Amino acid sequence: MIVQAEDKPSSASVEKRHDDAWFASTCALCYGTCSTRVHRVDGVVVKIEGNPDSSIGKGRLCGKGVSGIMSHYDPNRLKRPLKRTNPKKGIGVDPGWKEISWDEALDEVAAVLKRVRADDPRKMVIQRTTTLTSSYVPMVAFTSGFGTPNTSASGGGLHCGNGAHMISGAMHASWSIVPDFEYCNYAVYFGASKGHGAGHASTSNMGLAAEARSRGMKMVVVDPMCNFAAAKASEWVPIRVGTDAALALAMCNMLVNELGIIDGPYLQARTNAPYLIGPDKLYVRDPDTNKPLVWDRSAGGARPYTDALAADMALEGEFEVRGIHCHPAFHLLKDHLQKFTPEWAEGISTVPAASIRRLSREFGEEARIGSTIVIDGVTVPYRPVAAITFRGAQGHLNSVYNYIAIDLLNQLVGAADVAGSCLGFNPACSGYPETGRLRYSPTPGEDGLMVTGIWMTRHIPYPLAEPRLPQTAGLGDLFVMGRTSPFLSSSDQEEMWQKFELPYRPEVLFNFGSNLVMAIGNKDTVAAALARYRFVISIDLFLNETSDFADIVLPDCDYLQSVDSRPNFPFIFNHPAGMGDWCWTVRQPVLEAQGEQRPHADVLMEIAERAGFLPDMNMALNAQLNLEAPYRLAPDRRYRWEDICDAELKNNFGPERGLAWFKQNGVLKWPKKPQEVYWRPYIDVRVPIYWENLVRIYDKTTAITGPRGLAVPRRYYEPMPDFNPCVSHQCKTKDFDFYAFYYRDSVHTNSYTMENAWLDEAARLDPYSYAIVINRATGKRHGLADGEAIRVETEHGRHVEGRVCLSEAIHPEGLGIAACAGHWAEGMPMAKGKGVFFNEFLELDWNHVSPINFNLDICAKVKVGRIGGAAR
Amino acid sequence: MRRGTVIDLKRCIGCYAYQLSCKAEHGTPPGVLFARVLKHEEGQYPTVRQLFLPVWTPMAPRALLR
Repeated sequence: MIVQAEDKPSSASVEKRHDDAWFASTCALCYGTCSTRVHRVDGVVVKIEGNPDSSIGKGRLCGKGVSGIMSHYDPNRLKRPLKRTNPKKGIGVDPGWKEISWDEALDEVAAVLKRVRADDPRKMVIQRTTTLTSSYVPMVAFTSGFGTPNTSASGGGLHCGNGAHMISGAMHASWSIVPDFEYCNYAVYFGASKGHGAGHASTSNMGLAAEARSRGMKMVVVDPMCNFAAAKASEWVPIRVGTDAALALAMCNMLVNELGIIDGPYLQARTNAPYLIGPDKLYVRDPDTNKPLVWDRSAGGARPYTDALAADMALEGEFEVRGIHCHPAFHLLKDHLQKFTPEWAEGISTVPAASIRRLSREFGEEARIGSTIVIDGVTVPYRPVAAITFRGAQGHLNSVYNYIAIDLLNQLVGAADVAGSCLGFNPACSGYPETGRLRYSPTPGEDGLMVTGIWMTRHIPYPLAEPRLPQTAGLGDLFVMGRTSPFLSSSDQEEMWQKFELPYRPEVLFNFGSNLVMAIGNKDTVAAALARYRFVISIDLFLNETSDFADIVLPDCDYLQSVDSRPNFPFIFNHPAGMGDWCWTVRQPVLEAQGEQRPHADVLMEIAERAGFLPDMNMALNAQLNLEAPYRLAPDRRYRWEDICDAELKNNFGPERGLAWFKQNGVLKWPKKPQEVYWRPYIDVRVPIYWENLVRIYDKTTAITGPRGLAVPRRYYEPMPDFNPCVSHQCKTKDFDFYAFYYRDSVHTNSYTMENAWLDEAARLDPYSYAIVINRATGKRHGLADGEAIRVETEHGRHVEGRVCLSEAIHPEGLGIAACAGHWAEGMPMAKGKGVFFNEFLELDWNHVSPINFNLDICAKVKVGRIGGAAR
Repeated sequence: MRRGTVIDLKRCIGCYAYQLSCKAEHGTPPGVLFARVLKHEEGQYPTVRQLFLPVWTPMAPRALLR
């Protein structure tokens, strides 16, 4: 394979000249951002493949990636700026679009932004899609430059991230977790599909997971539905929706209290298990240094955790320190876990107690505690087991504990960031050898607990900010575990804002590529919130359901027409974990804009210039990209985005390796070292198995919420994980027999790809993609026949309709719906009417989000009936 | 000589790259697929397997198979 050198494709001659060339670039059909090679003939892209030169996918590309051509050449793509003529906004209400010039559009946008910024920048909310990772840097710089704290990532955080990313960050210094596919022998997946066609490092993980299966890695998949991951598993464990913590806690109990399988030295040295806890549930601290105390068995007394040898720290026992009766955290955890018996867990999760005992034993025995392995000449701990989770398990009221409970399995046996174990995605990197740039690693923070070396957002997992009376519309500064907030769209937002004396109200929404009306929850609640804005600006590829609420729509260039200098950085997000090579890639424009499309990054800088905050945006870019002289941006100079990409590359890799070098060579690789990948023994940080900070956060949060009349239940803020039921588990209404949930379809990304003709064709032929999947026996009991039209309704009276697929591969109480489908907008005619709009089931208010981290409860108890027939 | 396709089904996760790469390679019109990925359930809940089967279709030109 030869990736040919190419002149700047933005030259005006591209369309006219005869050419036949391949370009190294990156995919953007999902946020996986796999490396591609794009074949262009006479100005037309004719093929997109994986790039075998790159570590990101290693030449593989999934069905979505190879279909990108159809998204690009869709005749419904936006080509000109549009302005509404109908002042009335509503679902399906024609905005009466009028084409306007860029000058006119940007003048109007800049005038609105200038006014709001001078008044109170917090009155602008900035919203961004999660699908296009390259939008992250320019959008965040634009947001910082403008000066609003009110920013959101569409449905992304509310659905998949508030639990997964924050706890993964606190425990593994990474955005997500995966098994160390190369060495793992036994992986348990809880509601996750890593390696099965979706998500972070998507095709890289598909390849690694396939190799692991071929090698004989046993994979147990806990999931209400036997689809992508479970289909390839050695064992599918069907579970009642949203009860993963019950199973995980029972397995932890078995390991600790019945099997006695724990990695004591790991717990002593790398967790807060030995920290002494007093009757107030808080650390017992050294009066001089304020450091948490441990019981030093050789000294026979309490000492600061920094002063005792790890091997001497007691994990169990009752101690008396300065008159305070206390226990090591592990002692309390061991006692706490006793109540989670397999029989109790069976009642909650439907997983048989005998299976729970067997899975616990298999997991514990396969961990091979105490063993080591030599990799590239380096001896590292070997724990070839991993408990993995993501969106499915943590998308519930019990979000935080679900994730903590599952990861606790790893922590108990020391299977964290060592060979074969549960890995974060690249939490430590020694940097690019020739320049020393890109170096980062976890560090010990307050109380010796881990602070991530690099993070995606300003909101770091640890230490958390102090709760305060909120100044942000999302209330994230009061509920400090929350990232993305429902209160930017919820039905009770005004009530919450009044309660917490928010000193302003959002007036302007700046939306990049997010189809909010579909991506967050039920359409009416989100639509009502959108209609309350005085002005909405949307940059997009198509007119979608959210465009109905925009005042100005600006046509974007897509991924085949844009440049990006860091598709796979930070490495904690989207770069394959495990051994292999570090790999830096770029995205390069292969095609020119159609009509008057403009790349969003350049448009953002032009808006910033017109609205008078370009210097602030440039300074934000300097900080974000860590640019140093001579590559730092001058405050008052207007750059092209391509120049900034070039500056970032040279800043990281030296003056000879700018954008031109990457366009020609495609990728830059250098080998990973075992000490980077299996960093845990080499970096002196601890992680919590006892979440003492939640106790303190609860007191501080409720000191503000209590007097203002909001009851926050303490059971979500206890220091040790528990099972708290979903709203759906508490529904006992007659005929509401099914737990509705959604799942990622490997052929679709969020709400975007239903408009792609090839993916739509594949999904129409797929038995499940556009159907409502119900267990065959249960469906028959309800008098349903395979393929017939049904109506599914929530207790709140919200409903969807679709064709039922009766399947053996789903839990008897489950009702599965794929992706974020069911479009109704005219601007996406291929997508219109395809599939089922699951999010319609989701209420958006305080009662339907986790009261600690705002994760939405992404399940609903529903009633099913034939269309035109009686329910049941 | 007839051509065949050897696929390790253990590795297939049903992402449709097989079907869609073929579509991209041959540029077939809507409704015409030379290759497909079929899904098939085997067994009864909870002892069920979900199979992904990449296959040639009868629409595939004979020339491709020789």
